[in-house]
Amino acid sequence: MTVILVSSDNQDFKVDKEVAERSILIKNMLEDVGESDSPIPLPNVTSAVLTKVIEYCEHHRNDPVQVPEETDDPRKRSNDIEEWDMKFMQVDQEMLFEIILAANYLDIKPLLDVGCKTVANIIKGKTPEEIRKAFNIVNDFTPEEEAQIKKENEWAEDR
Amino acid sequence: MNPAPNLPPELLCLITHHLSHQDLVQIVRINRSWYSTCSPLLWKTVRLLYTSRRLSEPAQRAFLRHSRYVRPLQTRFFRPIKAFLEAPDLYLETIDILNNNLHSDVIDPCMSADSEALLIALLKKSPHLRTLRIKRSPKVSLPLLNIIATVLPRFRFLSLFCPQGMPWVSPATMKAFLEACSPETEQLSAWVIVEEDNEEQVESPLWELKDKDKHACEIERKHHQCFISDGHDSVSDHSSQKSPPSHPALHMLCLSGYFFDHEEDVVIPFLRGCKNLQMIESPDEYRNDKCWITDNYRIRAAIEEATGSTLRRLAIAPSGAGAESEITDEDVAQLILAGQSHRSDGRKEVWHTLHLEGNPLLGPLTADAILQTCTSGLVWLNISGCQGIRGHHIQAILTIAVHLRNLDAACRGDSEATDSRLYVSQILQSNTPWVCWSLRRN
Repeated sequence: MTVILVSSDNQDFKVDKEVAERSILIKNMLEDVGESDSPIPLPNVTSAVLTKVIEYCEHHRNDPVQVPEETDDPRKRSNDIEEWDMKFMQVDQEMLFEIILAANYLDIKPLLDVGCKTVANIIKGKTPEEIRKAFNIVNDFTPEEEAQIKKENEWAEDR
Repeated sequence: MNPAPNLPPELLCLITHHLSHQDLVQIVRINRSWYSTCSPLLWKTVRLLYTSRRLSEPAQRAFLRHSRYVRPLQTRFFRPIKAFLEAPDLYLETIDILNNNLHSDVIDPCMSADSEALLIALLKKSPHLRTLRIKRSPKVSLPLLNIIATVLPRFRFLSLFCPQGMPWVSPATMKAFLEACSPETEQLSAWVIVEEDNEEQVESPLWELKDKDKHACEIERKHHQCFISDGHDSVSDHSSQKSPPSHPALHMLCLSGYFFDHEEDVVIPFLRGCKNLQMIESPDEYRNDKCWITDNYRIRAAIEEATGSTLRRLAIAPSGAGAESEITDEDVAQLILAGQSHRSDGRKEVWHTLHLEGNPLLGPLTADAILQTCTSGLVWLNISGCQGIRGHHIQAILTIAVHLRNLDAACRGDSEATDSRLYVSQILQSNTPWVCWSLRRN
């Protein structure tokens, strides 16, 4: 059983239903529509991104349904990316954000997690200036404000 | 303006959940948008562990501004609490008062009167508080106990530890405290000296109970205490029509310290309302005659009455102590398994204490029998000198026996087993309440 997904730039992607249903959005759509051959439009996802997302879903098609385990140690949480996922996420930054946005839109929780962890790993251990550089972010603080914030958080930093 | 090009704030929020506190400190300095998105998470957990005692002006203002985000507060120092007291609204869920020195080999001073006043003021502002752990409670903690019992309606976990001797309370206060505690209380652990002495000097005349309706009966009981210490129905006379205070959620009760023969009148009436109590212990290191509260048969009877399970104790004499024939691994294993049976009247029997020490023949079969029966009730296990019970058996038992509080597994002359046993007994012999907590999930 296959499903046809249509990207924002009108490309058709024929995928197994099982693979497509890794996306909770699509799964719910299919359940609502019932048996139907009509293609599913995904106006928020470009073909380049959709190709990646499908690649991910293909690889993880047989994964058991994830039971999110809450842990309070953030360092533990972002260090447990599988090797395949790690390689999968080795893309340029624009694509990385696109994948995260698509995973969010399509409601693919494990992919969203891996994406967020990947970004978190980029941020880890960097100074604010290094993070700005990494993500091309403009600093809109005045030097006084920056000094102020540094003082505000002295309780957390002093260790 | 977006935090990062193409990255909506809600996704940034998801990402920040994978970051450590140290990284959060950095990213709020990136720009205004990151500051406003990430500050709530940065301030959600406040740990004042290494900060010098005086916070700078900007930090104090920041405390005021962000105080509503703070859920757990951990601090070694009391001065920062002042910043919280001025805050308009607080939603603290956890307060941890830690030792005030980084390396706790130095004995901490107790909480000063000023510090206690600060803490009490903070508790009064924290109606959402569920967990309170105090590593250095004041020696005489009546006002503190009073506040804990009367103004924290959602309070569930209490651990009170005084580094210099134990907090002193009168039996009447201890009783009133136990009964007035929030009905949602799940764990109660306090080091106390319960003694009649000097009551006039220290005890406040009346507890000001906030929820008058709910606690009316407790006040009544407090003023008309009349316990018959040798009868089975030690219910107070005047208020016997009212239902006793009930703590259905309480499953762990640890009252360490001295009770000076007030165990029965303080603890038994309280226990009757604790239907789901799974564990009660009061290790008292200084008295040889009555080591544990549960060695008191009336208290055991009260627990058994409340929880519907029978606590059992097994002691196997050490081999070579005049025994005719040596008891084997298989014998003990069968004995343990047979004891843990459901009786025809539906009562559950659980092993509470197993004294198996000094029987070198005990090994895998006994270990397995302990494993099968230790899940809920086992509190005291002595297997020192049982050379056949190996380190991995002990680890397995520790994993399953969630209520185990005292494990004696010392073993000499067997290097294979000794390492992990030593490790385990070191942890368990440390002076921390709930030593098994850290081992539970191993």
